[in-house]
Amino acid sequence: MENIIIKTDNSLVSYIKNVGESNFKKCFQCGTCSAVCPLSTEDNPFPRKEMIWAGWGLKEKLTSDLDPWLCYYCGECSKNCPRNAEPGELMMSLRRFLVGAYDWTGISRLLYGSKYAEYIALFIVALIVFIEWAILFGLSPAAGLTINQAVSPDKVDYFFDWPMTVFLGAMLTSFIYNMYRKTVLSDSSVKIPFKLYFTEGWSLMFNFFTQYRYAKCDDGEESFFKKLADGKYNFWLTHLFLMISYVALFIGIVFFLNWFQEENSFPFLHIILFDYFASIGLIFGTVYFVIKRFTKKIERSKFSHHTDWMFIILLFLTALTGIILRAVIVYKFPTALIFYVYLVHLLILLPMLVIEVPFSKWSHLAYRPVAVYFANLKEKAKNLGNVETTD
Amino acid sequence: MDNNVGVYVCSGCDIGKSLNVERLINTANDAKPAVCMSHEFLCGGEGVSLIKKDITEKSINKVVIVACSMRSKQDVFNFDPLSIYTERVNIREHVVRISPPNNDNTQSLAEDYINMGIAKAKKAEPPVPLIQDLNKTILVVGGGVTGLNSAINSAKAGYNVVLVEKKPNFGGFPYSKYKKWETKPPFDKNVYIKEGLDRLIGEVEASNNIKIYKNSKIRSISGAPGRFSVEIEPANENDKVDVANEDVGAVVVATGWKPYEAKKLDYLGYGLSPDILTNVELEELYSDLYQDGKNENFTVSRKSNNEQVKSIAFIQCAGSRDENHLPYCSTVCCMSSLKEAALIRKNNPDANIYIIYRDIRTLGEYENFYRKMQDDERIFMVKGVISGVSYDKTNNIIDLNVKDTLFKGDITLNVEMVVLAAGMVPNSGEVAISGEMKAEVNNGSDETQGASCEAADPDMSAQVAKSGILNLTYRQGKEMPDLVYGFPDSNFICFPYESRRTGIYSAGSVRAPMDTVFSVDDAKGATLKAIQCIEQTSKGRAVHPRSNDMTYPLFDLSRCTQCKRCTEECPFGAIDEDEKGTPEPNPERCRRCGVCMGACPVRIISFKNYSPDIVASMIKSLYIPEEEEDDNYRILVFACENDAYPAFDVLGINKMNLSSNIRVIPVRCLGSINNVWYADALSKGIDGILLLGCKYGDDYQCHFTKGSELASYRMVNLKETLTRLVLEEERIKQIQLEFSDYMKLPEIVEDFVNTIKSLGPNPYKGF
Repeated sequence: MENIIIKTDNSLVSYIKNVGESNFKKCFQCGTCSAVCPLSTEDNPFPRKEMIWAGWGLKEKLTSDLDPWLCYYCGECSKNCPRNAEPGELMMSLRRFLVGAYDWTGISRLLYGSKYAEYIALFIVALIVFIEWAILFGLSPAAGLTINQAVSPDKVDYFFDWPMTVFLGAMLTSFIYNMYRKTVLSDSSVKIPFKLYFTEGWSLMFNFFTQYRYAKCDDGEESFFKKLADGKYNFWLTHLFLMISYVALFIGIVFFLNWFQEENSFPFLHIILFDYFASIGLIFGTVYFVIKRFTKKIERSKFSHHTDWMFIILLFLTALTGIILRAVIVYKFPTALIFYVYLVHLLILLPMLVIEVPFSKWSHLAYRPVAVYFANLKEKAKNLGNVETTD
Repeated sequence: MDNNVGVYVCSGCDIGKSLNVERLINTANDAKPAVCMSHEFLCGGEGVSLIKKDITEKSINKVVIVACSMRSKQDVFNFDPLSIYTERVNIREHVVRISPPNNDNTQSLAEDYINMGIAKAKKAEPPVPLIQDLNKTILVVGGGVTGLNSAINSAKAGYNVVLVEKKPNFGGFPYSKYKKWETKPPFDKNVYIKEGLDRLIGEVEASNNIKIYKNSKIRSISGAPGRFSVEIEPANENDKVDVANEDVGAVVVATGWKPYEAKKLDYLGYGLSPDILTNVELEELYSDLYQDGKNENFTVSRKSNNEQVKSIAFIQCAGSRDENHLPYCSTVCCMSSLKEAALIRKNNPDANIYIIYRDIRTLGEYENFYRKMQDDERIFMVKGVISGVSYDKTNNIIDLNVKDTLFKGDITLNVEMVVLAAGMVPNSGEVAISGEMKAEVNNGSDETQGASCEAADPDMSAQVAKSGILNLTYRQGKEMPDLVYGFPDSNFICFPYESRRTGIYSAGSVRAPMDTVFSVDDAKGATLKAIQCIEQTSKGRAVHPRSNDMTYPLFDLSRCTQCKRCTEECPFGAIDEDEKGTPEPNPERCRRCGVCMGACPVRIISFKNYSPDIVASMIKSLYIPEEEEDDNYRILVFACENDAYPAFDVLGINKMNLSSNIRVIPVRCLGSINNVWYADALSKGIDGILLLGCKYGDDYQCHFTKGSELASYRMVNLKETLTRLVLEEERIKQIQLEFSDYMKLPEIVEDFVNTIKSLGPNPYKGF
């Protein structure tokens, strides 16, 4: 049994209240939420403990907690909560809080705290992109140039895509290290054998590409195909489709940008695969989620934070301007028009990536699989420990 | 009185189809009644008018209705109770509905019941009620919220009131306090306590029907309902005011509560630091702070350094729900702590408030107040148990160790102020410690031991003698007996406000811990009880639970041996005694349970329609077959009229089969069973005797509190007698039965019958 000296943190309580719509103070700790949760396990039940930690503002407890990332917001807890304390929404709020906790720059906390901060941040990035563009390509294309001459894909790579990728990579890596420090290293109760990091590596990739925990959100007795037919996997599959589309497009624009600026509509098979398939995924996915957030019919779309809206709208606009850009290239519109569409596309795309990926909603694409990986490591290490002690 | 018995057998409701009515009539005729007839629809207009005609023409004065249970058709067979004795023989529920039709055993069961009914009717007489012109004033003891409400409600109902208050002012405990909790949603305002109370006090003081005694207490109360005489003396002995005498009819005790002694809370740190207060002390602090400036804009400061409080912890159940302190929940501490938390949030907006609770108990609508407070971001609800309180002198901080928390471990809280939510102790009189009282108690027990009969009431020694509130001149002690934990309540489930002193009703937090809202309702309830008692008593009728019973016990004192059993065992303290020990009955205090009748070894106590002799004749009238056959075993069942007898009725209504070896005799209470009946029954040849009565013990359900317990106690002595007679003690058994247990009855009876069969028939059969 541990003895903790309780230091309640009122500002943290207010912050968590502010970044979501959970009434976690209303919780009287009956534990119904943990009992009905299809994902929480006997050894590691949640979200009951998170409810009280949040209610008390126990910062250390909360920052070292991986469970918010293990929750996929099926909403069973919120539906069954006798106090309408919205535990599911609390887990969402905690994910927002954790993004800020892992971020040593403090930008995330600003963005989550105020929508105006987010507008300003996006605007600043857009302004930098605009200035860069003006310096590199001018404000209008010289007459007679093709688009590849006016906007060189290499320059876009060198001055936009690759610096951005490096920035995102550096940021996310440092944040994930921070997360590792707070959740794994700080946990003195468990020591992870070095070998385990590699043997469990598969789970990181597996979770990243399948998001199979979404499927586990429904613990009904029916078969996989019955659930599939009943549309119980719609959310998961749409989300997966959207994510894979995004990853495909991201890799495409960062490493194979010149393919996208090719005027031939079917020059290569990969264009079709990457561009067209992924664009459909993005548009379909974003529209699906916008509709869900508007109709508020399912638990996980009941409440929307401003960062949720901003992200989904920017992603939609990025996809939309990307398709228009591709269309005007393929249908050989005047270069000047392509030039401006290109600029608008970048003015949406780059702020979205620079702000949303490390500092806001989009960061969950990194944290979620990593958290599952960490949790897996901890559990495996604990089990190993158990085996040793029983011997 | 003439015995003009008329027997009327009803053959309706399948009685005629299951029994040979002609044979029933022949059996009844053996007892030579004046009239004996059958009718197929006795409760119809024709049947009843037949009986009425016989009453007037043939001057029938004892009507024996052989039909359904005495609990049904009371509105039809309602002949003048003062001139006609009506006996109901239940051959519907207790015979035809539970036994196979057209069977010899069923027939003899019905015939036995008819014989018993006629035997009873021959000896019983209509009651002669004790109608008196009695005093109808209500004495209200205590001028707090409950007392004031009781007084004003009594006055509004048209009764004169004498209101006695110990303090110089009315309003009781809350009067001097700051604000009360909002009792209605949305719980966002706290009203000054005085506002509502002053209005009520004004109303009481302006009423012409209320005679007020402030600064006063009761020196003694003697008498009985309708003729209590009360001596009222100044509360302060130095006051040169004469003792006043008042005559009253009934008493409402609303003496309220006192906080649990803070000194006993030292295990929770009380006394360690001036910043550890009780909830009452915090209330007082609040009212002082308010009184200082007469406005609400004050801040609560620490007593140790006069700095504003930044963190405060409330420890709930401080000394409550704890076997070493107060074993019960006081129901108000949770609400009062939440209210104080709300006040602190207003006055010290920067303070964090921790409420350490085991269970939050906010009754009814108050739950919404709890929810509202729970949602406050500076209020932290801590479920857990305090395992240690220590005071860090250098930092002037109080450390609270809490175990059994929801944090998967123990926690430590560092706070600046601690409030102990201590519980309520009823003001039901102080435990008597004066030499005089001690001597009195000792004397009592000595005499009991010296008496010729076995000491009886197991309860007397368990009750702590108290005095100081009512100072009754009753033989059984100065105050009302406690139900539990010092609360002078009766059975908490069935009879609120009732006490074991007829005509004296407790209300408010002296009865059970409660808040002012509940106290207001309680005052009304107890007032109605008091009014009911006055009115019923003046008509010579009993109060609850034998409401309207007009009989009362008659004592043939010339044969009394002064054994004091009746005066000791009466559950209601109705019987006083003179110096020699001769009982002095007070029929107005009597609830007609018959416990005294059961207690009396020389059988000098009887009712007009219920006496040792009457029941003995009923037993004698039974036909006991002598052949050794399974069907010929005879089991006598004494069934309590309150629960067990109705349970048999319900069994009949549900047509469940029951052994036809049993013969049921209803008794007012198992406590009214006189041991002579066992002897009568066994010598008659009855094979076994089963007592079915209410549950006894701490959570008793006996309508007369002690009756079923006394019955079992008396049986201990009886069993020795049985052994001496070479009779197995298993032949007599008492079973505790609730009304709702009727489903178990067939099994209980079957088991007992089988036990008796295994013992063999009563060897005295046929002697």
